Amino acid sequence: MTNSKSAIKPEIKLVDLTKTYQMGEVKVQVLRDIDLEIYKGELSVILGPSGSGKSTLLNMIGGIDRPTSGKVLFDENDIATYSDSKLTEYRRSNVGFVFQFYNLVPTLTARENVQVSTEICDNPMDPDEALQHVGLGDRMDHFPAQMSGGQQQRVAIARALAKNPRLMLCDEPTGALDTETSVIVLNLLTKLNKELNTTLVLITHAPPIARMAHRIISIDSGKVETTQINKKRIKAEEIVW
Amino acid sequence: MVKILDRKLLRDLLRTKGLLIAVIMIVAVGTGSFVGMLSTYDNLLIARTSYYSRCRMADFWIDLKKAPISEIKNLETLKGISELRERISFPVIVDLENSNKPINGLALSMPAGPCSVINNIVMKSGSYFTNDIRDEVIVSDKFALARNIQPGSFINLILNGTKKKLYVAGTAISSEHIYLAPPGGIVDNPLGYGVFYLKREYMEDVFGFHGACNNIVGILTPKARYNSEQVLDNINKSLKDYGVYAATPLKLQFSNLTLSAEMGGLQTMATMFPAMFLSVAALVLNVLMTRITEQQRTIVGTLKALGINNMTIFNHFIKYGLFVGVTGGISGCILGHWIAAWMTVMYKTFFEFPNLLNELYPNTMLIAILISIVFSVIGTLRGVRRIIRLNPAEAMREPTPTSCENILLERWTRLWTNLDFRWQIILRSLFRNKSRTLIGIVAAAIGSSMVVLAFGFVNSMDEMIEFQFSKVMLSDYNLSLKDDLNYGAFIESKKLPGISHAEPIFNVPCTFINKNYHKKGMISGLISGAKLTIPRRANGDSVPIPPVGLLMTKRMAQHLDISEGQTVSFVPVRGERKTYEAKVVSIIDSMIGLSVYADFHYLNYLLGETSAVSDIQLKSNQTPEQKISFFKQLKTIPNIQSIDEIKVQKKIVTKQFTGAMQGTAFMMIMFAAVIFFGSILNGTLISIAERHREIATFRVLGYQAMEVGTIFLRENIVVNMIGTIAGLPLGYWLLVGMMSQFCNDAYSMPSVVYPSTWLWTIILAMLFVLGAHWIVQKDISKMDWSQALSMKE
Repeated sequence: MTNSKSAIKPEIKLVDLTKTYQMGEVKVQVLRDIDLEIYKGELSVILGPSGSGKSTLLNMIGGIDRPTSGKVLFDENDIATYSDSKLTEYRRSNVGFVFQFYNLVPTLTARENVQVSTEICDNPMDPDEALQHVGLGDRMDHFPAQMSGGQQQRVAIARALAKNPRLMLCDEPTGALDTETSVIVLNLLTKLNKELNTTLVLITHAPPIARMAHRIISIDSGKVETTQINKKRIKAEEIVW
Repeated sequence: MVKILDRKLLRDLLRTKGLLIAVIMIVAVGTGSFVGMLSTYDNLLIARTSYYSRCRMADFWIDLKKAPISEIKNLETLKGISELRERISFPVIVDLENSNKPINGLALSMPAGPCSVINNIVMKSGSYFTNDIRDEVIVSDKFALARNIQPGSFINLILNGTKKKLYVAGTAISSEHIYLAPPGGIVDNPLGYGVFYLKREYMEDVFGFHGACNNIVGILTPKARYNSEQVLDNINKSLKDYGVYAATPLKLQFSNLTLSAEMGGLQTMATMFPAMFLSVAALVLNVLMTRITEQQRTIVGTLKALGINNMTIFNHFIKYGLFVGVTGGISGCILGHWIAAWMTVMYKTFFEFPNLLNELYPNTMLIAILISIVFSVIGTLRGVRRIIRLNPAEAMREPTPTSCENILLERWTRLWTNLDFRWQIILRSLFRNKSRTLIGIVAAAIGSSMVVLAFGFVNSMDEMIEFQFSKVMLSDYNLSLKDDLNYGAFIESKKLPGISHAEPIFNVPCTFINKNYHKKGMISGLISGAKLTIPRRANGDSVPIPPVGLLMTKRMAQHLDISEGQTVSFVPVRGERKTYEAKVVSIIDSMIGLSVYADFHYLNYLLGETSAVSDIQLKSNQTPEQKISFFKQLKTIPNIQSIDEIKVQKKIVTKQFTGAMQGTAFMMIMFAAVIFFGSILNGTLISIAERHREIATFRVLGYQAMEVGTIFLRENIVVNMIGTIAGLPLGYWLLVGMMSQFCNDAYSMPSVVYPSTWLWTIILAMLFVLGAHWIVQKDISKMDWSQALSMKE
């Protein structure tokens, strides 16, 4: 794993990105002039307080929302200009999402939730293998309601990683979990980043978590404040909550 | 992908089964009524077509006084006529040993040997005429069954005033009498009226009709069938010297007319009912799907984020609609087949066919399923489209709260602040979920219109019966005389046992003419101040018989394009057949027939008679003994053509019309209940799911489940009562539309809704609301509200 800009290519590059929402008669600018690069194989953490625009930023990277202006370059192509179906294709082939509230389909079992993901991409992991990766080999036929929050989040991670995505985007993945479970989930994510060389973007409002990252991007009021390379990465167990 | 999403679909369907069953029931009833009514229509159509073809059903009927057969042969050369058959036809009285009362009947001539004549008969038991016995009769099957007359037995018929003992060779049915009612009557009465087929030679002898006939039936060329009136006009002209009483095309022949009116009604209902039910189903589904997709907003967003395209998600949700459409459609087909079986059995009691069966119609069923799918998918579309349009990020966010603006009522501060907070919650909920409230109102309106329609059917029948038998026809007996007799016969009739009052009638069959319009009919001459037949207007007001001029029913006036004060020409069938003129003094209403009234003496004077009497109406005050002796005496009077006991007629009409309608009305009320239940359950259970947290909060505060339920009950009462009241006029309009199907020259059904119907509709709607609330309350009571409080908002 490297943290040198010259040695590796950016996986995704945001250029002069802005996002404005129209809330009734009021225009709310959520992102302002964002220039940012996410590097291949790195674990990048976007850190910022609530309402700073970090989730919106992640949505732009993941192609589930479009910027008002600016570019989102992936393999030199601006995905912001993609049609709906091309954007869907981008997500389908390249992106895995992990959400704060897991967003599992309650009427599908763990295995089936992973299958939702594997059935639509070309080179997926076996759903059972993905679940074993996250330590849920014995919970495959359980429904979300029969699992703890941590287990549900691990199913969500399995669902994301089973696609073998180039980008894995995690939106406050531990936001709804207790400390102990959070450690398990974060360990799992770093392990996947290391072993599978998946580019991982994680957003959080908790600074201690950021210390696990290769790169820490601080954001506030819709602007990137700083981008730091973290030379002293810590393990999940070392986080002081 | 499809497989996994289908698994999700299956589980989602199971999770929402209660709501889905409610919608499926509405779809099933809609599809069921479509399949049931169209299948019954097809059953009748197939049976009628095959029966008409088997009996070689005539295209027209001519009733005349007497014409030589040679003259009839000449008619065959007229353009448009393919084949003719002349007959002898006379009213008869049946004198059965086991019946005190004389019974009316119709004697019709048939060839001595079986051959394929127009209006042929189908033997049901016994055999056709034999060569061995001259005095043979074939009796109409329904009458024979009702009166237990077996082939091989003997019956007495009073033919031309003489009692004849005839050997019953067999029993038969004929396509011209699928629905058999006595002349002037509108319902069949197997016990009181029969057809008696006699050998032609025998009737020639008895009635003095050698080489002559008084009835012609004929088949038109295929081209002439489109313009039968023209051919009948030509026949009328050719036979004008022989006194044509009536020239009736197939479409106006009583049996065919009644059957066709019934079939027309079925076709209308087969369109109206499904349209009502499936529209409600589509609306309810719309509410349900909007809720389901809204509830699964995050899932949709996640699926989109995972890279699943819009089409896959769209197809996934559209399958809800497909499922409802297919299941509702299939259940509807089963229900429809059952409805058709029930209705076909009911029709068998009125209409006599050799072979009326309940068949399966795969095409109708396929169309029904397709229609139910189309409606269900349309109902699903709005909710699905809304969620599909959202981009994934937006879909994963909680929806922006629905409008929190003040509702209109809040502007009236004094009113608003004085309202109980429960009412404030209810009113805000109703106004903020406008489309759901509106759908609830529409469903209730359709449901209540159906209840009004159901009661309205029965009310209209009651009104018709009441108008005819309690306001217009007030006699106890009506005696039809064979020839017009003079006043002396009338005086004699007053002396019959137990008769308290009698009135003469002089009926003159004639052709009315006004400008280019002409119509066959009859003028009834009533004595001034008649108490036993009282012409009336629709509002019940009696109209006195004018000393000069005519009273004409509205329908007849419409046929002739004539109005009050104008003069109409008429040519009587009897006598010299001169053209007379008379002023139409007033237009009146009649539910049965196309009556025209005039003063008894005026009519006699006009036609150059002194006191000719064709019918006598009697009012009685009889003891049982007097009644027996009365009927005994009637049997011996040779000049009596038929005897009608009005009370019996009323009883039969009431039993047949109201009886049949009550069954249909009950079914319709049950269907209305399905609409109310389906709509209320869906709306409320969805509302409960959305307001889980609100309910939980009330419970935490110490409200009983029943108290919380009352909020929902009040909400449902408001929506459904508004809908029910809106449905009252809608129901009346539907009734008017339906009843117009049953208006023809033989009878006109009024469209009447009694005040009690409005009340009953509201009461029933309230009961449906309470019934549905009982289920809702159970749901609220068993709700795990403590969990609701810890849920993610």
